[in-house]
Amino acid sequence: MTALALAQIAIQLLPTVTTGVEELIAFINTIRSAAQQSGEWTPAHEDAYRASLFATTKDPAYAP
Amino acid sequence: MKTLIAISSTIALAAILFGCASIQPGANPLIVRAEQAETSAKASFDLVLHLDNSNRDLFQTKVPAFHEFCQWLRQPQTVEQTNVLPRASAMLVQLDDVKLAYKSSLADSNALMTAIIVVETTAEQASAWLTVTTNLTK
Repeated sequence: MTALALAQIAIQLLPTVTTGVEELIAFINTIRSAAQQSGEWTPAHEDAYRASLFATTKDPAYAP
Repeated sequence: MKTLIAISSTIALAAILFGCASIQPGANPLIVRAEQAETSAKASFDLVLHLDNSNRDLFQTKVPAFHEFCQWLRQPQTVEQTNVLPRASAMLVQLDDVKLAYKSSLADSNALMTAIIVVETTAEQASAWLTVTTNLTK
């Protein structure tokens, strides 16, 4: 369900969003790439994804 | 107007998802689904947490439940015994660990499916908050 439902929500939000449009478009692009994924991740992709998760400890948006 | 938005949303959605690839021969559909869930959930968590972080005082005042949800996603959790991550990232690391264990035949498909459902449910909740928040703060 997820990719389809998330993309639908994002598109419904587009007309109402006045700030953060760039983030919303980045979100849509990510959902799109997830929906189009046809094979398993390569080791490099896996490493990059895990690194992005551990990098959130330095992201102020993720700080309590 | 709502009908017009609904129609244009449907057309845009079809355009965005046009060309969705089928699973390549040899790829495990459950692993691909797990990775799709990981990507989608990370994007959802990024969006809600950055939105809340853009004006925490405003959201705490006008949409306190949304802010509490974001704070819940931010709570530090220990994963892999030594790493402390925000809950949003910790959940995704745990899913990734189960996926890797499944690939190595150290976990069964039920364990992976359960981990996928947990992440997808939280991501859906995050996306639902996006809709509510956008409407409440207009």
